[in-house]
Amino acid sequence: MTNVIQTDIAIIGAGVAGALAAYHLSQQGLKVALLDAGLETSRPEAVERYHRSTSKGANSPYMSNALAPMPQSSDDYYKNVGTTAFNGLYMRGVGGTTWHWTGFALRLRPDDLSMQTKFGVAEDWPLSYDDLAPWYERAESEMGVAGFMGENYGAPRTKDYPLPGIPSSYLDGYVSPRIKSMQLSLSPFPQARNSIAFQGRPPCCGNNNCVPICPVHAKYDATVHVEKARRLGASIYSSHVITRLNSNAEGQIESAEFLNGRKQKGIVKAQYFMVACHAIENPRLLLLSKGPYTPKGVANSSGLVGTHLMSQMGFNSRGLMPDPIYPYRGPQQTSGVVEGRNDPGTRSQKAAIGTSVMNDGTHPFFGPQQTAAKLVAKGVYGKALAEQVNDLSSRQLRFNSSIEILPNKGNRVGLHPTLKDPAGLPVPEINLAIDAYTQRGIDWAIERHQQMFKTLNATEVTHDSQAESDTAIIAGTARMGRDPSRSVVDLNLQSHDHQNLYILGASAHITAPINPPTLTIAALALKAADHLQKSLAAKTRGSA
Amino acid sequence: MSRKVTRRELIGVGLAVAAYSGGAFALNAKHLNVDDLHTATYKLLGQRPANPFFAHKIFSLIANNYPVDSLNALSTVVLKTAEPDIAKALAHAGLEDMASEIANIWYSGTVFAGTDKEQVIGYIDNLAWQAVKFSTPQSVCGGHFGHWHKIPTGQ
Repeated sequence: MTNVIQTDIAIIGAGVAGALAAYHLSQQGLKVALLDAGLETSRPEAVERYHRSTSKGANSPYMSNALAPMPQSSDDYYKNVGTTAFNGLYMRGVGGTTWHWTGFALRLRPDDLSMQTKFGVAEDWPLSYDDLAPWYERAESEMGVAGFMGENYGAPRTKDYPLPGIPSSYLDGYVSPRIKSMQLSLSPFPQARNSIAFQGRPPCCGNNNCVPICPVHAKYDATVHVEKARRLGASIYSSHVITRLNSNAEGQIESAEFLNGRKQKGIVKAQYFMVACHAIENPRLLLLSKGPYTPKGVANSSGLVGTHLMSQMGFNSRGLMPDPIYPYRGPQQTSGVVEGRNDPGTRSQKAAIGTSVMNDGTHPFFGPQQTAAKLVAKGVYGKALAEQVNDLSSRQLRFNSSIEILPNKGNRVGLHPTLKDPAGLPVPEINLAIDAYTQRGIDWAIERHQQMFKTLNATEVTHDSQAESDTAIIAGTARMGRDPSRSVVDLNLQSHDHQNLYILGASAHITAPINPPTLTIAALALKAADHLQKSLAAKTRGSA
Repeated sequence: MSRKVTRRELIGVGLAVAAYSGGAFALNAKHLNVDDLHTATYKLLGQRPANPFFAHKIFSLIANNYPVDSLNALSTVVLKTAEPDIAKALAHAGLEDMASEIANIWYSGTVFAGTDKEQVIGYIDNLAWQAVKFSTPQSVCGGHFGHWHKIPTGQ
């Protein structure tokens, strides 16, 4: 017998976009089914799993649904075919990638939305900052963003942050005055992390950082709104891999087919569908959904689904300070360098860079262990071993810079022609190549790291052998726009091709600037959910 | 002089980690000078593990996976040597590889590192995190909200 889920709204993907939309729509009394390919996670079990993990990778605390693998490292799930290795990490599971995000909740700047007009590169968003600002406020309130009013990284605001700011680390305070001679300044990050008890969750207690897991749930993750939606009556279906969407001749999405954790097939029938599976799985599902009325895939009359993939390149440098700076405490990053993220004099020429002062020593998971191993290799034993592990660890510093990648049509997600996942679906095929604009940004970041460590009188300075695309910042692939021939969704993330389909997440983003995308994902998800609810209400009034 | 124990031999013994929970020193207990091994190990490492369960697991693993003669020899060398000279004395006795492996097991909390049998026995209890006096192991609460803003207590 076929499993049938009948609902008003089917939301596919229980990450931050799907969870917030489910909550908003459930608040309006709508019947919501929130489906996710992955599992629900028990936080204590995830912490234990992390302790036992040998890799300590970003996804190591989390179990995969056997039918829906998620990337643990490059090329173990999706396949790279481009000249630049894409190592983007994302979660497939209830709560999504917010389980292991940094918690940074920055708005995009006005200039980030109009890069063609301001700098002559990339394209302008069809939305202005003023269009987004009310939705940013709503998202910040929902997520409990903590920040200092004057510290906004160039994104103006009229209201204070919902929660008091997260104090900078001691080592931020050490670095800050010393790099002023380089005309660089540090600013604390606004973060979706509790600075006070908020909505039943405790304030942050450091935990020597929460990437890849916050053990106390002081850091916001999307399970907050999954639970809120569940309490309002939303049905949560984990381990439900959506295998395709079906459109009818009128362009309405009639159903979604799924494979559940027992490998049983079923269908979801709904008035509206929201696809919210991040920027790799969104286009994958749309491209999987070829049918008689959707020969290029669902929502793909423009042929642009999967194109304009963006990520960020990352580059790390490590050094030993002359004084103790006491890393390995607090959130992973509490401050970053302001300059370079949106410099009018450089952004037309080279990629923006965001340099963070890392609070996690030379290595977030293994720093002291690696230090001990080096000492043992040198024959250091006895009390000297323990004392030197302590001393060296107290002086370790890492800088990380993120480097912007512009939207290029050739950077894309497709379906691999032969490789399939355990559900029998083609795995994503990734084609990424960085251009000279990004390479100039990488060179700038390397030079900055070298100069910063020199200014700090650091020794034993080492640099990554090359920049890598290894972040969870993934965007593009179902872009937003007014023109259906040049975009996939409109300004409300509604598909141009299918009136009852919304495509949420960073896939709609036109650029992927240095400020991370999560708050923008949340803001646009709330905007889309609000639009859907009003459309449905209008339709209901019309039929009545 | 004890012969050198190679990584291949250590791995080759291949006892399941689950065996820790059985008789701690079952295989080697008859001939192993346990007290000396404890004392020498703490001297070699420069500290005693705070968690006795973690210590029990690691001692059991070591006792069951290294030749007893080598362990007794290691204890003898370490106990009779001043700390600054331990590395030299171990090298002279052909025990430097075994000693460094044992130290790394304690400091990482990981056994069979770099092999397909690699297993984390005690991440938060490992001696590297224990040596760090100003912080906690990753994923362990570090204190009150905002403590990271100031110099750690006692530093």
